[in-house]
Amino acid sequence: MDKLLEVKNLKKYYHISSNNMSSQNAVLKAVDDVSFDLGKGEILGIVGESGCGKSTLGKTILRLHDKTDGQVLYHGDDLFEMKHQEMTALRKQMQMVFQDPFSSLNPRKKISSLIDQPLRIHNYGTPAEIVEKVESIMEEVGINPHYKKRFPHQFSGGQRQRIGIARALALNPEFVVCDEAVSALDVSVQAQILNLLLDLREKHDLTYIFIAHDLAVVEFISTRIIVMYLGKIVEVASKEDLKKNRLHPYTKALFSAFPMTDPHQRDKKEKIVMGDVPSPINPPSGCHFHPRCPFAKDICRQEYPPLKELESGHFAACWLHQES
Amino acid sequence: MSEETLLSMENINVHFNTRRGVVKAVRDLSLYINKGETLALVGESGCGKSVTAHTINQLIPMPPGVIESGSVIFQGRDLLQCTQREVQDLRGTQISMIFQEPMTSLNPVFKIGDQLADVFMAHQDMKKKEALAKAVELLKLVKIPSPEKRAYDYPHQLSGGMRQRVMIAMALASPDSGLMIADEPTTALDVTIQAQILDLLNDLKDKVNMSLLLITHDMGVVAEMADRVVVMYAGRKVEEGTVYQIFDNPSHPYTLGLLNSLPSNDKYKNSTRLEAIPGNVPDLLSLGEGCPFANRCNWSSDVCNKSFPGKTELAEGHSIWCHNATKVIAEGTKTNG
Repeated sequence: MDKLLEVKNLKKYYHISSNNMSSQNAVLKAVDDVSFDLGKGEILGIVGESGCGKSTLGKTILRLHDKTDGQVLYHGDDLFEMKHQEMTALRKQMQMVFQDPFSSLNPRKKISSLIDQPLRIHNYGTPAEIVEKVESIMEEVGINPHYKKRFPHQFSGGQRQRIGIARALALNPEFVVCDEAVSALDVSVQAQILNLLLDLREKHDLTYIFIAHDLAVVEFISTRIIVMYLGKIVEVASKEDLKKNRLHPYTKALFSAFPMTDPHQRDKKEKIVMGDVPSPINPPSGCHFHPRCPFAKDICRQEYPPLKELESGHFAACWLHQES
Repeated sequence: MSEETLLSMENINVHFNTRRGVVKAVRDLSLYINKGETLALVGESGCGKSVTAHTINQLIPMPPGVIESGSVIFQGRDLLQCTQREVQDLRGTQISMIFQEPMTSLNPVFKIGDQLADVFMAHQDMKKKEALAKAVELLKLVKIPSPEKRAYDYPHQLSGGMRQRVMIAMALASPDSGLMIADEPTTALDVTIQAQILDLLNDLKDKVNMSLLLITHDMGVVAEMADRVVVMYAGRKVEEGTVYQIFDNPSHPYTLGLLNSLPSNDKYKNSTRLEAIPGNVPDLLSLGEGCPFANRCNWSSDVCNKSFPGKTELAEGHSIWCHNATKVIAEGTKTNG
């Protein structure tokens, strides 16, 4: 498989100004030493609870945020080494679909000018060509081009998300990061948008990173899944492997907490009792998950376990499965 | 049915007079909740599930809201005929409510212990000290660690899950808990926290013998929690049954579509496309007298646009409201199987 993207030891820290008089500034490690590869044509799902760094990771990969340390190689070139012009040219290749279809579209712009904005910025062609492209992309995402003079508020949530997708796809990118792209939508509309994303991927040969907190959605759409906890990757595996064999206790807990849509299963479920997610500003020592982990050993409290390939293509960072 | 009915709503119609016209948010809705039961009210945004809840404890802002007709019988009394004062007393003592947003439903400038104590002072004429002790007791009941200390915390010092526990504690402050209405109680929470809160609600339900009206859009939460389910669409009840009837044998085209669009559905194990319901949720302003689901329905016929169908009873306690019920049942199970 062709490598589209290599993320190497990526770190993104935020310095939080202290609210009391102490001179020490706190550091929030939103993304802490994350490495993974993304092959062409993959749909890589990233799951985790709020505050685990999944959105920050998605944005840092696209260089929408600056990094603290590490590398993001896109076809072998480091994004953070690129000059402004090179980066602008490359932005055509990589796009993003945002979560909230209500706040991510400028309410004062007509749909046509929302969709043609990226085309104009990147000098797509003559005005006539741009109009033609806008209409064809609207048709593709399932919005009647007849409505192009309307404003965002005249559309429903699902239609707005289609417009967001049209904007992202206007420049024929090869790589799209979808950050909670369906979580604001009703279930019946969510299914439509997931199908649309899959159709477009087939047609345009796209590679997706799909960030979501809804495990059912991620399990359905992804080919491979990354599970994150407090800025770190705790498990990576193909969708099938992760379904068969969840290695990290956090992955197990997360999936078992997710409500199953079968009332016959409800009494059979194993209950894993867990407290709250600790603050990412001062994560617990050693493995960040140890205070909530039923299997924590001494070493878990002292040292963070490395992410290790335990089965072919199946990585987990847990002392239960490796020697120190 | 031998169980005792705690609350029954009959033919409720709730309208909102807006500048753009009359929004018929809830139409001809009837439902009942038995003692000790969990009834889930499911539907997508705008289907009227929250308005239904607010009708029970009369939190509908009037104007613009108008309860056009109907009755809400709670323990033999029609709440819609009660005075404000009487309803207010009920709200603090026998009908309590948990809201979706634990961040915004607690007052940020008061300690949580004080906010809890307020309920006792307002409704049970307790002295502050006694009320505070009761508050700590409740915090213990909802499994907040070191409740004596936490009672002196402000809401911002607690996590989202903890805040929702405080909300539940507040709802439990009523002495003889009759009905607890939980409006999307876990929607704002992470799944591991959601699981804990749902567990807690189930535990408490047995402990204090209350009934739960659970309002949610999440079919997973319904499957875990409910005894019976009412499915709503655009202000109308379209299907009603026990949780097993609804999940094993969904029969209304909308319920079928809703369950089919869940990516967790078993049939998508090897499939790469979901069976989505085409179209969008209709605008409540432009709804006619017909079945609101008609324009998205595979089985719709001319009559569907003209009038809302009557009830078709499929089994004891399991009913759908659909003109083409027989056809849908014959073909629907096929596509669902």
